[in-house]
Amino acid sequence: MTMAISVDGLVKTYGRLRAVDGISFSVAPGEFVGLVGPNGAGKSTTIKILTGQLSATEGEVRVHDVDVVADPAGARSAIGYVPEFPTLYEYLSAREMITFVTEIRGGGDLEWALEVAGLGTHADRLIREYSQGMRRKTALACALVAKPPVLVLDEALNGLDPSSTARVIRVLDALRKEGTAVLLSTHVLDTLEKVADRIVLLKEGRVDADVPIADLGQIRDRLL
Amino acid sequence: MPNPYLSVHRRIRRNRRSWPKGLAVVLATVLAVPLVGPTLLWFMPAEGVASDKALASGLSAVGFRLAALVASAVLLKSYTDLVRGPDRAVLDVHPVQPGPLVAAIACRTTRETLYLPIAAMVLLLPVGLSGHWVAWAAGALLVLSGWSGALGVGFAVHLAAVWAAYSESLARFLDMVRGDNPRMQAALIYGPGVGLAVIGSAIGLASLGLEGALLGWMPGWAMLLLPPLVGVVVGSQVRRLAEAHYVRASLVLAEISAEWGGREEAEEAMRVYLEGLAVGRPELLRALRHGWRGLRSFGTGAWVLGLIAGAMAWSSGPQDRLVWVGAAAVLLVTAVAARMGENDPAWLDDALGVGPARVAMARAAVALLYAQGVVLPVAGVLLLQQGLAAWLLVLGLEALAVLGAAIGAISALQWRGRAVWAYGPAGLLVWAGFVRVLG
Repeated sequence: MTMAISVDGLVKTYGRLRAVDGISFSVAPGEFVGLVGPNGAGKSTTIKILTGQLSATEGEVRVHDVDVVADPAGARSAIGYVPEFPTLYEYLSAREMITFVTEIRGGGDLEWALEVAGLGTHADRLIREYSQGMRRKTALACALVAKPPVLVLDEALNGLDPSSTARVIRVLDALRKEGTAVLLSTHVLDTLEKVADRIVLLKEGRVDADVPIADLGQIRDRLL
Repeated sequence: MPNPYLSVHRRIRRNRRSWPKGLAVVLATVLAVPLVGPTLLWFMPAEGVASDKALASGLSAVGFRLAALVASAVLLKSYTDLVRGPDRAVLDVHPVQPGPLVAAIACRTTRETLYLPIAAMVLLLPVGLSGHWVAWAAGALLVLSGWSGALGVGFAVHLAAVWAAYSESLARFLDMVRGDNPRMQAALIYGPGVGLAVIGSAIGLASLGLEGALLGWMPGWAMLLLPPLVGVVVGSQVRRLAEAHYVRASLVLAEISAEWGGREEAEEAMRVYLEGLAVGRPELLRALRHGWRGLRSFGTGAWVLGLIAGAMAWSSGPQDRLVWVGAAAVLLVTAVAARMGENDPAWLDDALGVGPARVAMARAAVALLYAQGVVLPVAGVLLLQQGLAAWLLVLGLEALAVLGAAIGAISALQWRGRAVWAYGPAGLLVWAGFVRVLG
């Protein structure tokens, strides 16, 4: 079976610092994987390489069978990505922003995405007037609107109110059941416990554990 | 199919509902012309009519400088828009079509720099008003040529710089010229310089053509079109380069940032220029940190400009040129106070627990301190050469630095993100007034 995400022997060095030191893991289509680890473990670097934002020093990364290192632009078509600090056009409304994303991604379900974002009447206000939570919801809607086969979410649920978090989790779960691969980097283990199939724990740039969610209890201590 | 990037830029412009930013600069230029005209257009006699020879050579020299200045600004602006512009951060998470996107960015850069050749044409207006309208048209054409040529060259050069950043064949050369910078950064830094060398040569030939044309040599008129011709030839590669390198520029930026992050010792990264002056003044410490970490080119660039102005002071050239350049350099550096307002959030000002006046004074103090990089070398050379006879000019430059810093800080306080657009026209008028009084 072709993996939605395949990371093999990934290394990233900054001078003498090895931020990522030989990481390997994969995510199958329809699988929800949580990427966890303490600050500085290499989560964000891994995600940046995975989404074509940063080049790898060594190793192979494939997304939807596209080599991200060789073709970062091609890999982006398959990925819906919410970075930790999303940037949006300040002088567009959420509706305009998401409409624009459907245009550049070649289609998408605008009304569904707006419903996921849950912005209600605020969807027609300029993004520059939004709170951090509303910006994050807009970024999530942009990542989801074209229903790409792979979702990569970097701390994407931070700052959302509980009802929005629950709604987004429901949507992600439904997408997973339709075959979307989801990789969620987070510090909130409770969220993963509800929805993830597997947990990949990173520590000091290496995979410290790659276990089914049922074994979360075994690695909780190592994480803390 | 319509270009979605053009549509979204149009939508943003409509939602922003702001005045064209350059309009204030053009209006300020109109007001500055009577003040700066006699110094800038030195070949125009106060009374009577300039000889054809004096007019042709003078206008050629001034036209060359103005066109080169406009081209430099366009090259820097195209770098900012293409490599570090607002679109990159938004679109990095989505698939993009580089060709149409770069075309949309180029349209925006064209629109947002159009005020530059217009302002330059306004500066040349006294030539036309004295009855030499053909000469004015030739000067205007030279400036427009430089501007349009720089657009084509700029976009191609900045995209080619991304290729150069990865090029194995250029690695040794980049290592030789990069200084302390990462190799990839050197490729980007020297891009505008390479662009200016290309378009500057074309502008130089065009200005010779202008002189010839005004003296009756007809091919000179054709030479005026050299810069746009170069722009079209070099710019024809933009689409191909965009497809290959626009997206990779994000990787280059990330690599540069990562390399800096990896090599800086924590202590070194925390060190700030002149920090010792801010003991017990949190707002000044914040402004010094902001200046050094976010706007360092103003602090280091001031000393470069100061050395250039100092060299001019050392030479036996006319003092009005020194006034012209020294004043411009001082006001360029004190713009740092206006730039500080762009990124400082209002809540941070509040969190400092001091009033807005003290925040503004701190920004002004940083601008004034940075401006010493220009004033001190000039003052040193002038005092060595002329002794105390030069005190008026030295004091004048210092007063100008105070005024520029104050205008910058007040602009930042009032308009924050748009402070530069208030500072620019005001600074232009102050510069023109200074040149009028001391030039």
